[in-house]
Amino acid sequence: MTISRGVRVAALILLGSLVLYLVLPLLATLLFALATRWTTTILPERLTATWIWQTIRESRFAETIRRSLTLGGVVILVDLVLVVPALVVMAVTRSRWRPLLDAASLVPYAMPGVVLALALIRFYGMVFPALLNTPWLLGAAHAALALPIVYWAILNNLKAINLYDLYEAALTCGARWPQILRFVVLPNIRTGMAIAAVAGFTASFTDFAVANFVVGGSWLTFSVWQGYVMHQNGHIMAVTSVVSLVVTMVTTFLLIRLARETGPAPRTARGG
Amino acid sequence: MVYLALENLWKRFGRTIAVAGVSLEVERGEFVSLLGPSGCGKTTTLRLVAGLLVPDEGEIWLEGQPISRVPAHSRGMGMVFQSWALFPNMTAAQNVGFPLRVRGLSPGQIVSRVEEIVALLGLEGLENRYPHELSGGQQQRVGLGRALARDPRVLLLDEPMSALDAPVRKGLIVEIRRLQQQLDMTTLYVTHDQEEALSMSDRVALMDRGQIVEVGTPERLYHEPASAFAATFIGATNTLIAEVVDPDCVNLGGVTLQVTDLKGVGRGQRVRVSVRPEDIRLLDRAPAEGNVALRGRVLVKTFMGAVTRLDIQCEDLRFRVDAASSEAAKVSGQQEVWLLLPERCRVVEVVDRDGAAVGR
Repeated sequence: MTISRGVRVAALILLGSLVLYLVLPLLATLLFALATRWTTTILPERLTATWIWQTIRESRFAETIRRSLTLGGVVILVDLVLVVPALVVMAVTRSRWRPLLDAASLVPYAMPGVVLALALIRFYGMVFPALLNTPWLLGAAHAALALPIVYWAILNNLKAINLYDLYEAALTCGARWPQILRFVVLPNIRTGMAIAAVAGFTASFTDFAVANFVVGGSWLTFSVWQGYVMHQNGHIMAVTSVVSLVVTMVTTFLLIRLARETGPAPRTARGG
Repeated sequence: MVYLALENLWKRFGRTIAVAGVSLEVERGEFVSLLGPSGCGKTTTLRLVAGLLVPDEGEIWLEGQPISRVPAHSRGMGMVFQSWALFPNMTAAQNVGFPLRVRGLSPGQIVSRVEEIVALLGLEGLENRYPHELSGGQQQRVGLGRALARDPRVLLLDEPMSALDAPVRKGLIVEIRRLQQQLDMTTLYVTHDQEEALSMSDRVALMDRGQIVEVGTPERLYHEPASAFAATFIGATNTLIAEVVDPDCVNLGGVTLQVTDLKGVGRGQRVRVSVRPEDIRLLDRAPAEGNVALRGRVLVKTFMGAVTRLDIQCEDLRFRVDAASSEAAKVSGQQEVWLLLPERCRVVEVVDRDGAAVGR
């Protein structure tokens, strides 16, 4: 089938518009982070690295970055440990309860972050007040927040590889559960795990609403600190936004590379 | 001692009875097919033998030992799946070597055995390809290699060729049979394709509604079916209603045919007989005196290569005839023809006046 020139031009215009729509705000943020002054002109008057140095020298910058990185790491670990075994067991036992779990996993999505945070504070305020204002409660809240993302990423990966058949094939090959997990299950869902980890980490790292409600200033995360900075200096806020983007991109790159280095991406076999 | 014995196996899924008292004995080195329509319980039976399901009742004996409670990974079976179920993260060689790897064999032993299997199955040059880089037939060979890698006590094949196209399937039928005979491998093969079952098996166990209804050599099942179900499921046949005229004769449309299996059926009783389409001779003119033939008219003529299939109406009886295409070329649609029936036919059930089965 040949595509006419007109259609190709239209497609290029559409694609170009989409790229501009996505990239322009990022470019503008980066420029604002480097601008001395940018108020009445189309482009910044001059460029400077002052805001970057000022941000880096700020004592809370390194501390909040470290906290948010740790929190994001813990959140994806907790979610993977919760979700992967549950979904694997459901897949190999062909459990009838999965639709219920599917629905339950969507609850954090359906609920606004503020409501989730308030519910957590009210609940733990009654049953375990010692957890209030602690990073533990924030970790639990972020784990719940990222759970749907992790759940659906792993579930889609499991559906794509038809785990039930692979599990039975491994059993008839003489493999026991630990061997099946190590040689069959985990290598075949590592792409889904990497995607889940990236998305889960990003959800935690960039969350402001829940973190602000649950711990606020008592255990400052990078996003909450960003919120405070926004009211003080827009240029430093722009720098922190760029940092946030860079951290997310680096994490994505590292996790995808890790997934690739552990073997080739499994693909569904073709017939014929 | 029987090598593998299934003894009164039952398996239910909720209210559905999938396997209802299946018993079967398989000798060492024998190739037995479980043949039947979809939902007849053949795959469930195979999965019971593999250890992927536990029977509700009954026992499976292997070399005199009960194994129905032995977990699948300890049974020493090799299984080939309908979906092939190759591990997508492993190459063809790694898939074949997987059963050896989980048994803890040294890398040297694994490589040596994998090379053996690769040569046996003609997979040379494909060892480093991933499943998605292989054709369906190649994937099925890898699946077979994986099942054979650890010298299984019984080789189980669950409709392994149902997703393959006809030429690949025909090649694999010959290859599987050759391998099974070469390795003297006790094999249980599940299929709904009677051509596969007849061409590969030492014996065929015909299944229907969770039960084995008939077991026998392919030749016996084909030529001497004991039931209407067997006659119609295995190969094409004409099942027609005839009347018993003697203790060993029936009348079919005015022609007397000999039968051997009329014990306890009285004169005048109506029976259903099976006449294979290829056993009927087609004549384009009235036969010489002495030969009794049925006169009919060609309704439909279907060319099928070496054979041409004709549907022929002889008064109130309708016959299907498979004639050599060279013979069938002499007749055309709507032409008047004569059918020479075989001297013998097979009674498959006793029927009442309305044609409903009343026994066998």
